[in-house]
Amino acid sequence: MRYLVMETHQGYCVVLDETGAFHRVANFGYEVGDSVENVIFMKEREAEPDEKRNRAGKRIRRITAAAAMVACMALVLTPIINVMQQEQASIHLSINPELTIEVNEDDEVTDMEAGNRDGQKLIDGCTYHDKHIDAVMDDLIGQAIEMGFLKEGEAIDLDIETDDGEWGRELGTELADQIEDDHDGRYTVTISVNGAEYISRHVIVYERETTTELTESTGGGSYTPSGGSGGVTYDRIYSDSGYGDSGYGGGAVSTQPATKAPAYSGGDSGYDSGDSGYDSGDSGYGGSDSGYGDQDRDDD
Amino acid sequence: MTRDVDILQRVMEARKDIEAADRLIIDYMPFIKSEKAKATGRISGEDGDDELSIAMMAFHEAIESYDSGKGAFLTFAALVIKRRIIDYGRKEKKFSGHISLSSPVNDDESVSLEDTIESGDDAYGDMHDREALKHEIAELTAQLSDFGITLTDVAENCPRQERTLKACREVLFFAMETPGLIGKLKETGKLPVSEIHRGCGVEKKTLERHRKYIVTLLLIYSNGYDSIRDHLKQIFTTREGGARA
Repeated sequence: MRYLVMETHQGYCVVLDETGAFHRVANFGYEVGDSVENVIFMKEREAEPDEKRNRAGKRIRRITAAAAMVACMALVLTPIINVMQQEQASIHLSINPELTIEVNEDDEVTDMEAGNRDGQKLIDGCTYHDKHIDAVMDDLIGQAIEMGFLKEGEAIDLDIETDDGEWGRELGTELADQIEDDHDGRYTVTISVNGAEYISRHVIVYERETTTELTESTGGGSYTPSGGSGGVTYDRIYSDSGYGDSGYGGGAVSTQPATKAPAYSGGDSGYDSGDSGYDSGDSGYGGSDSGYGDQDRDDD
Repeated sequence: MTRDVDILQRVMEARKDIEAADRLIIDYMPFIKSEKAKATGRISGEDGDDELSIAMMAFHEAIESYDSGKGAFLTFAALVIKRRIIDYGRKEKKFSGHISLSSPVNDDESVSLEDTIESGDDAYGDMHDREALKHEIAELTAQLSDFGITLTDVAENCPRQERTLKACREVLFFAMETPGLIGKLKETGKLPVSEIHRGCGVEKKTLERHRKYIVTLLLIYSNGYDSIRDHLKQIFTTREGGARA
């Protein structure tokens, strides 16, 4: 996809893609009229709290003015309104925390309910009313990572319940793509629509033990740490089983490492001293660990 | 304390006024560079420094998402910058075997790899096309300002869901088949919501919610924006029956 640069600013520029959608993206020195690829999208701006309050205020005034009439009509119309205002979908999110997210026809979150205690902890740290489901899902997963509920390779299960199956599948695809893009495919994502598995994208993480003691006992190895912490690093094999028929035999996903592989092949290079070098605190951003959340917590 | 109040005022102003946001970013460039250096462990030049661009974007995101419950603004902005650079680094790692076209050739920072590649295209023609595009974009920007719309507004107002985008395209197809509708929009400065709703069945709520985006799309498909329209190759491919343009 190519993007036409339409407007530039210090922090971002506005681009137009070939399908006619406008986006705000990072400005890598672009100029108006440039045609570019591989852009980095900016996060969507959230609705201003004031804006929301004003909207609510106007609604209240209008309702007050028409109160008498509404009171008369309410008895007749209430059952009809109830049917019309039914939620479009309920999304059951299951990591270890479990929660149900109610979404309206504009994909905005109207309510969330915890399925367990950890789910409540996630909800407590998230503002969601009238926010788009993409933004809320992003917050929830970010929060789950920060709180240590979700580690690389583990599973995110979403079950979408809706009367409109086609819309549910469309929403499911969007959410799966978003989770995969935002987190570089570090998590297994399973989407079901009305109980039937629709998307299953598996990630298998092989854990390799590389403790200092082991290193010393074998007289040093050729394994070079990639910046992970805690003496355990991971190899990730990303296996996208695509849509529907996954060939993995259903939605149950093991979040445990599948096998243990030797950490190093022996030999004469590397660590012949006792220092394993694994304790360098800051892994930069090249690490394959989940230290992202830890760093955030430290700063908070 | 005075400094905190000052920056808070500027952040609030920057949220409403894009030029104020640009000024704030320029004034806080030393801070942004310093946070970028902390996150990457590198101090580098300004030109072609992708991580600095990410840090500047992150600072803007911090402006937009900040509220007083999140602590001091600069602490919050530093956190957003660090997160963004870490994410970017992870993404880039996937392409670590690739060489950027903007990487310098040898030690000469002023010449990038891109500059050394011979283009098979007609350079004069490309320059002419680019000038035409710039001219059209300037024209469109000016025309939109008559409607009180900026391109940033349009990007923020643009639907993100495919089915809403589809609905907005249906409005475009309807407008192209309905002589006088775009003329009426230009004349009155108002989107004829009821007429469009009756004509193509798109919900009034969708039309009102994405008014700025729809107005922009309709203006692009009025006269004078051939180069921009050339770019929109895929806009008609989604419609049943294939390409029309």
